[in-house]
Amino acid sequence: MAPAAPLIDSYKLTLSYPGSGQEAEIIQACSFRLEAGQAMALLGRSGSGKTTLLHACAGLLPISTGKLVVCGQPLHRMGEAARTAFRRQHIGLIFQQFNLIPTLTVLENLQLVCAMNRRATAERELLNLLASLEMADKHSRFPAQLSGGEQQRVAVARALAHRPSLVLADEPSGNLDLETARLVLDLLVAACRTQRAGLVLVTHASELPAGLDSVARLDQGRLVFEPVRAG
Amino acid sequence: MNWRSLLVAVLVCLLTACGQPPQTPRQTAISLLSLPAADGFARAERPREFSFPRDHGRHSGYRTEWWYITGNLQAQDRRLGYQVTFFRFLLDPAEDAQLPWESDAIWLAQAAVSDPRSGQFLTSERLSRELTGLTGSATESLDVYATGWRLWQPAAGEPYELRINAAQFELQLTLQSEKPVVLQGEQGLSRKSAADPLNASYYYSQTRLVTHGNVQLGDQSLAVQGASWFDREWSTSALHARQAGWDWFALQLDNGCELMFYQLRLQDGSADRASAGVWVGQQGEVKRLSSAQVGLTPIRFWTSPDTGKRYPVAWQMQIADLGLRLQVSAVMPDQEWQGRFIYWEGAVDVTATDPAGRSLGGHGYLELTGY
Amino acid sequence: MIKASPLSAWRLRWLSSWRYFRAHPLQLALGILGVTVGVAAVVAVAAARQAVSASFERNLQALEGTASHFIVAADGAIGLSDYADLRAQFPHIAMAPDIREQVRLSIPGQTEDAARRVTVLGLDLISEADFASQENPAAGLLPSDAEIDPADWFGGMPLALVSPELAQVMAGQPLPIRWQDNTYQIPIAGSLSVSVALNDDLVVMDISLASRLFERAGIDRLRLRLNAGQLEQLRQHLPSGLLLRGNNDQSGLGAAFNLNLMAMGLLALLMGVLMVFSTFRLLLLQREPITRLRHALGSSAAAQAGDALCEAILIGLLGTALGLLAGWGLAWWVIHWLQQTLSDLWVSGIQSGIRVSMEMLWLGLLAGLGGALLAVIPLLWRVLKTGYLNHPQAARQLRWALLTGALLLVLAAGLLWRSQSLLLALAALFAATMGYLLWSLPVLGRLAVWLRYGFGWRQWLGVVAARRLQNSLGHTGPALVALLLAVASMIGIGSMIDSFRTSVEDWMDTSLSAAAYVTNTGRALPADMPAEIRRWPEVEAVSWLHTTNIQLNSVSGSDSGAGSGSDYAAELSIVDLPVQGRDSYRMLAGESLWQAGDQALPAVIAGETLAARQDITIGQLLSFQIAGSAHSLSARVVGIFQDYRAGPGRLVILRDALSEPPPAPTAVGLYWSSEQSGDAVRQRFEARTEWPGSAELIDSAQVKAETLRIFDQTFLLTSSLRWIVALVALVGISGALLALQLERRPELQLLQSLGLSAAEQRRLMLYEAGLLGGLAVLLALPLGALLAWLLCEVINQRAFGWHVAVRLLPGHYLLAAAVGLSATLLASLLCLRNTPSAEQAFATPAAWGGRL
Repeated sequence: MAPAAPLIDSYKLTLSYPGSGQEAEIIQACSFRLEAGQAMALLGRSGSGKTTLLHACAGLLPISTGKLVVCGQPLHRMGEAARTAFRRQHIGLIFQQFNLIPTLTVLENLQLVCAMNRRATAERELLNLLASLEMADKHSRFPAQLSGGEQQRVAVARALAHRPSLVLADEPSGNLDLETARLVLDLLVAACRTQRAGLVLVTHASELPAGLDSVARLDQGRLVFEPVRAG
Repeated sequence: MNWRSLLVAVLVCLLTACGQPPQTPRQTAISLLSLPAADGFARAERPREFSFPRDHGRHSGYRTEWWYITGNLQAQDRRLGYQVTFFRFLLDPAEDAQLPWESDAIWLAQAAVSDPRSGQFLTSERLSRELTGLTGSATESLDVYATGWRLWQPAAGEPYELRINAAQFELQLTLQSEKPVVLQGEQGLSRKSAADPLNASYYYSQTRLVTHGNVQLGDQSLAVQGASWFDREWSTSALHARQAGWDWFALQLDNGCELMFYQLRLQDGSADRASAGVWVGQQGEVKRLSSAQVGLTPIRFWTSPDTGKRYPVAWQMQIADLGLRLQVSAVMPDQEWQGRFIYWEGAVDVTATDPAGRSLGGHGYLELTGY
Repeated sequence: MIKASPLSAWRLRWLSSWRYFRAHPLQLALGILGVTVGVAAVVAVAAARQAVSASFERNLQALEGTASHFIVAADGAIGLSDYADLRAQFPHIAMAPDIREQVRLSIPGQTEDAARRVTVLGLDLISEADFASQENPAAGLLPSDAEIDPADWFGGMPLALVSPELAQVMAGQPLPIRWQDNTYQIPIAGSLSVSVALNDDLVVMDISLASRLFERAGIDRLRLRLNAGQLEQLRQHLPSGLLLRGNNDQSGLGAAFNLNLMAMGLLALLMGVLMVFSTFRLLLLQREPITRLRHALGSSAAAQAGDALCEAILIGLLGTALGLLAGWGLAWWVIHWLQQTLSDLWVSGIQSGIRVSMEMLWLGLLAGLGGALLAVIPLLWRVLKTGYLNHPQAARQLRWALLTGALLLVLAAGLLWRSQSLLLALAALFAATMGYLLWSLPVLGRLAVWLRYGFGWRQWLGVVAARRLQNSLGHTGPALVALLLAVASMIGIGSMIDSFRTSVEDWMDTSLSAAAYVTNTGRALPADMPAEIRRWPEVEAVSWLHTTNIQLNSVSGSDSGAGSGSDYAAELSIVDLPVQGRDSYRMLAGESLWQAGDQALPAVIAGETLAARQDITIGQLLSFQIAGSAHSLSARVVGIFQDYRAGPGRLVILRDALSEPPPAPTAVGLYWSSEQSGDAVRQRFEARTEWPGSAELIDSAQVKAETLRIFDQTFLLTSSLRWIVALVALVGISGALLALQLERRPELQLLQSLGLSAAEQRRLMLYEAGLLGGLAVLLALPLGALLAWLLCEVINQRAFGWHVAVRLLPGHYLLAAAVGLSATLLASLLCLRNTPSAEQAFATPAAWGGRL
């Protein structure tokens, strides 16, 4: 079997916030690869640029210099419209909060991303997905009617509903208590593995779930890989 | 005699702030009566023949003319004074109106009743254009009428009838003249200004008319009787610009004599030499009085709370030639007209001392203008 | 050493509020704008209405003075002897005679056809002065600086006073007044202090000049001012042949216009309050997170409530003040625009009437502060209960809206039931509208829910839009309701004007059955004229009409109660119509005169206005006296016909039914069918010089065109004011949508992160706006029909006795729908401009973390 193309391939990546006057390099010359199906945790202090890197990989931010190829797409050469289309199809995003459209039910949130990708929105499939996250029985509820943990589980389902190649999760368990956080992260990793989607998980060292393939730390704009702790 | 300079003032009012009296009636009075000879109007320039009843009617061609009646009446327990004036103001000397609405003249009728017991001074006035059947006067007899008010002599020799229905009072009086007509001035030509001989009017009076009839005050109907005075005058221009106003007395004494005197006041307050009057004896004999013969001193004043004018409401009069000393005082102070123009006209009581030293009573009317 | 100035808690709170608004200037601007626009709408309509009403009042006074009654002769004019008698007998009653005539004025330099119709009023200025001075010294017709020599004026010298507009047109030249076969040149002495009547110019001259010009001395109208006691007295002693009428016949286009403008004012008030309410609600709800925070920090509920109230009052007052100015300015501008557009001069008198009045101020305050407090107080109550602001429970609110709405609708029905009162009808209009609007909120909600199922997932944008719509009603509800009202008002008022116009048009088509009429301004024509005209080959038939004033001796069963003789006044038309003309009375009830068979008593039909006024029913016996006839006539009412004529109302009877009909007609109708006949007939008519010069041959088509022209111009103002209401709704919905958008930033960011392209984002907002607008328009349609019905069949009917069949034309609906949809789409376009792209949204990490 020929080795699959890497999900994320970056080289000397420099990002900056547009319109901030000077272009301060938030990420400096970052280079890393993520293979398909791999789960990576991204650690770092607050303000170290983890979220920025994640946004760049999602195609939400333009690249200043360097090369960033995600899911085979050269994001560093793509305009906003192309990046948006890319993100829609290939990326699943999970944020710390506000992951669901409040005006749609749980199931509808999933159906939405499918419809946006012109995928058949077979209810059974989506319900199975929800079931794998133990949220099938609440499929007709509105997000406001769910607890924090439940919402994040649904978020995981929504991020995976359209079968993206890569899931980018930005501290999805940040607002949850320890037990729920562990549950959500475990479910997240498992679901990604089941769908063979890559995962970049921004989180804290104390919450690392099992099953990670690599752990990286972003420090002063540089990415440093650390050994994966078992358990 | 009274000059109603009102109408210009009235017309000015009419076309401006209707209904409100002009600020300076004296000025408008003077301006009318001292207007230069308007073309076409007849003027009182020389003595004329008077014939009655024809001259009771109106006279064409003269700018102003009036019929003026005052009187003192006695009801059962009450004393009343009344005044009625019909004033005609001619606009077009040609008097060639053919159609009914084309009026050459405008009429002002005024009526007032003084009731000293209640202190009420009731007034009413009517302004109307001359219109056949509504307002006007006969030309050959006494029949003057204005929107329902009427003064007329039903037939020659008969007593006059007076009918006035105002909002607050009504008069139904019959007046019988006891004395012959008195021609004022020089056989009826009354000169009003020493400076300008052209300022004159034709003027006659009937100095004593026995009066009886009915006066309705509000809802009270009073049978009255007393004596009235009838003045008639017509002219085109009669006052001089330097004349400020006049004080006019028409007194009827209990001994059957009458006294009429007008004092013309100049701007500087002094009396014009043209001031004149007349003494009528019991048989109707007439003695003319000049300004030199009559001494007048005001002895009491009254200030109107509404207009602020200060009127002399009581006078001391001396006529040396007749040996008379009279004291004339208003029966009540407030008899000020506040209609379309402002002047004072009211009933007065007279106490006189005759040459023999006997005291004499009487009534009359006093008119004060130009204050 | 930093000196720390001690800031009190109160100042801190105000500082935070101030900084909040500085950081969100759009919110503050929208807030103030919302209040301003709401108040401006109310004030603009009120100001315009006042100005127009004042203008009508003045115009009415110009012709009628401050008279309470007037006397006319039953036939012809009041004789001078009667006049003298009346004045002598009733010296304490203010009376003013006039001779009035309608003549043609050829403006120098313009063609013959452009000759103007003017009303010449010959007045006795002395009597007029009496009128003016007794009540209102300034109410006289004359300006204070007229320089007229009284000798000239009273002596019958040619002199006239004219309206300022006519004076301008004539530019110092004398007036060429045509009468009979002569033209008189009358110099203009000055201008009147009032503007002209509705459709005629006014020329005032001394009555002596008028009597000379028109060669008669009789008085056309004797105006009086009477109190109750004098009225009785006068009625008993009125000379025979004279009729006493009240001066309160406010019927006619002017009054109708006024009334409808008042109804509009009510709707505008409702609109304004809704606007302000919506604005304030949004403003306060946006502060919800801050109040939570403060509550968490321990700020007392009372303090929070107090702050919210103070803010509301401040913004409310500021907005109201601006709104008053804007409203006044808007009214001035609308009327100014009307003046440029309309040729009729009645509008020019209006401008002077636009002034600040207490009514405007109160209305403005009612809308501005009232609306603010209405919004604030329930929210304050929640603050006091819970300690912070929070969204009111949607379900509870909807239940409340349903209940109150239902109550109001029932109330409205109750107010209309079994009553003929105009006031109650207006109250019912208000209640019904409010009730419907309240009901519309839950209905909108339910419709929005169902809307979601109108889209499949292939149209996922639609699904999202529908769901968002459903959710947004909490915010946009009041503004949406305001839009609903605006659309409904446009439909209602447009339909009312249209229906009215069509009715008038139909009525004229019916009643002017002849091709042309000969009239002599109400006076008699030669008795042989109809027969003569009948002989002309072009004329197919001729109708004979005689109209006269009558007094109804008694109307059995009526209880007018006003104690005024004028209430029994009416007009009688004696007619002899050919077959072609027998349909000229459109019967609303009963039979026409030609259908009623031979009866013991003569048959008469009554116009609807008279029937309404006097409570006349079919079969009723009427007794009246025709002038000149010694006896009273009794007749039976067999039918009621449609009648829009101004005046006290009409009875129509056949000439054949009278034993001694008047010999001469006052109007003769000519019937012909071919187009060319018209010119030939006119030539024949002009050739008959022995007929009175004042007799005119008038084309029916001309009359109709002229009447409709006046109608259109009269109601142009009402038409224009509708747009103000629409504008208000636009601002309202924009504000609501913008506010909503601010709230929804996080959701939008989420969608963008999910890959919503810029184009899709636009489409989403437009869909949402379209659905929003569509729902509002949908619900507005029935309300529009209801308003139209209320205005036509209830309010106008009760006010004037007119039967106006309501016509709901698709045109109005389409226009209103277009306006409603455009408003929402425009509003959403504004929001679009305010929406950041994905990049902008994610440009700063704070944008991600912070939702405020």
